[in-house]
Amino acid sequence: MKASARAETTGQDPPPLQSLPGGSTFTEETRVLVFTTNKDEEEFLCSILRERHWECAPCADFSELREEIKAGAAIAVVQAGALDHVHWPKLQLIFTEFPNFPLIILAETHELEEHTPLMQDPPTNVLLLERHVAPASLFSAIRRGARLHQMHNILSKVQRQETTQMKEDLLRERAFSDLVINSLPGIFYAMNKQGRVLRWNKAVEKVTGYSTEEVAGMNALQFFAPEHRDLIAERIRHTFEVGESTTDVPILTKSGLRIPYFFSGTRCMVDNEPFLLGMGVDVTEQKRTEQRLREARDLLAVHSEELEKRVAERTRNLQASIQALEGVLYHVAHDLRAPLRTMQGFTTILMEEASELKGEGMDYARRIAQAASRMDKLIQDLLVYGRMAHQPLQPCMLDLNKQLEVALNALAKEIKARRAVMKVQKPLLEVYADPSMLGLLLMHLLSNAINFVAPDVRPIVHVRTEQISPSTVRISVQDNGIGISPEHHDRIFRVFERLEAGGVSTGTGIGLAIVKKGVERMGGTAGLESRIRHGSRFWLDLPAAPKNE
Amino acid sequence: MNNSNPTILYVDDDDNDVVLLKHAIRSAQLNFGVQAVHDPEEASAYLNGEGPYADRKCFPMPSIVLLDLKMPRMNGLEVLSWIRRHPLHKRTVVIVLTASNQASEINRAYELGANSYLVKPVELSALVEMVRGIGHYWMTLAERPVAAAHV
Repeated sequence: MKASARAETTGQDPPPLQSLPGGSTFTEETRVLVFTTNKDEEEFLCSILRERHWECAPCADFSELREEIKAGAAIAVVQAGALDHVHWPKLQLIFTEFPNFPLIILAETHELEEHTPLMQDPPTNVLLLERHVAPASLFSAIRRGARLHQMHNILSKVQRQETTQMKEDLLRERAFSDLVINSLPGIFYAMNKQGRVLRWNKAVEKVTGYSTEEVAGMNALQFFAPEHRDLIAERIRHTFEVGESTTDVPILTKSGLRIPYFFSGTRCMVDNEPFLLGMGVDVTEQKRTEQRLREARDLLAVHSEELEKRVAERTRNLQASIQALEGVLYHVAHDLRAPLRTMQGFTTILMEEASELKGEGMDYARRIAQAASRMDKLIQDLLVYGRMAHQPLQPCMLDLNKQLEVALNALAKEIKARRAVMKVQKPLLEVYADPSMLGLLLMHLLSNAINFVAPDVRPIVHVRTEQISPSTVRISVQDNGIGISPEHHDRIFRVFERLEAGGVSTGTGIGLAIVKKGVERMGGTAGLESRIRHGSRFWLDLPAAPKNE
Repeated sequence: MNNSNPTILYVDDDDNDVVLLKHAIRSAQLNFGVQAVHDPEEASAYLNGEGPYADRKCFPMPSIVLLDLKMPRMNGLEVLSWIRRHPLHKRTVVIVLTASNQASEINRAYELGANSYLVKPVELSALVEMVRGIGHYWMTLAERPVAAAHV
């Protein structure tokens, strides 16, 4: 019998458990559904399967077959001969319901050659076999089909799992991006070319006062006041064309409030369709600050104008005061000098002509005359000092050799009286200074050098110049006088600071103050080097040339 | 007073200065006759030979007018200006002798036609030198304007 020949084929043990990704295991399904109208055939098939430890589940009809497939089976073996015109449509239904369930149809050779759609173009899950195939071949076909089915099941299960995972991931992703866009510091929106708002963050609703449903149906332009819509439309167009843009325009809320906003948009492509992603930030505070800044600036301008006016006014007042003071100074000096002339003049006449004045009387008269002379000099020096600050200067390049000559000539009498030796280290350098001012300063320095010398010492005065820097020339006047101790060096240039040593001095205490003020007005400085009993060296540092600016 | 003794008219309100000037002229051994008036009004009266100055023998026409600028009532500069506008006195030598060395006054005096500007020195010896200088310059070196009667 054919069946015994089939039984010879050695069966294989069921394959071991298969492990699947994810750790879950699948047992190989070994239940085979059998549908045949021939009991022998059924018994034969079952024996082949049982020999190999597979389970055989004969089905009486197609509804049972359907139930069994649903309950779980490896494969179904259907005998073609059992299929009549009633069964065909039912089988068709099975194919439709279980498109992946494997089916083996055993057919006679002539049946295989039938021009039925099933025979000519079977569905992918259907395997047609010659009915009298060897049992081993039949089993391996069954097993292959079952395995394929199982693989398919596993695959689809994995696919299902993967799909679920992907959905979860997508949801998580979505939740994350929602979190991100909702936590943005401003409003966020995505719109298409038509201005339809497709996605937005919570801030949009919070700021505008529109509900989620309302926003969903709105066009971007509706978030702005009518007069701003042209600008917004233009900006949106621009963003889609160029790729990005910004604009500074107030947003219009549902309640009609306008809030200053700054928007920046970027074009991006999603699935080959351009979208505009944009952000807006509330610039109310910034605008307010700008406004305050503007106000502050205006206020400052007003203040500075006022200040300028005040300065101008005060300058005018000051100039008036200076003029008034100068007038007073001049008159005081004039009025003070008149009685001095009288004192000096008449005392001199007394000494010259009143012969009864002798000894002490003569000495007293001389003292009066000297005091009057000294007071006159004091007044004159004060007048010079007073005028110094605003006396107009006309500096030029000066030949110091000539300047010095003029000063020495003016002092000729004093030099002769003191038998002073004047030594000038020639040639002297040029300086940039006002001639009359410099002449006055030289006179004061030379006169000091001659006069502040111990009575029994013949004055020796050295005058020289040196270039102490590219822009500065130093004029030095060195004497062999009484000297000045260092602690007095600072105050000696102040008005009325006189350092007398035992009546040697004939100064007014203003001379060096005049020197300091004068040299400073010409852009220079004055200084000294001196030790007590070792003479003094006074210097003037003056510009070597006019400043080029 | 005769013609050979030229006259100086000294216009100054300060009597002390008048005495000192007279002393200085004596010390300088100049043969000037010094006439002093104390204010601008007296000065114009003297020059015009009016009132107490009608007698030209006692009050001759001065060769030089020494003019102080700071006086009561009329300013010395006004006297100068008056002299320069006067048909008979306009050429008279006028030397300003004053305590002021203010630039504005110096320039104003020259603008109004002063022949010289001198600052009163405090020391008598300096005044003597100054007076000697005036005598030497105006009596020896300089040609003085010629009096109308002689033209």
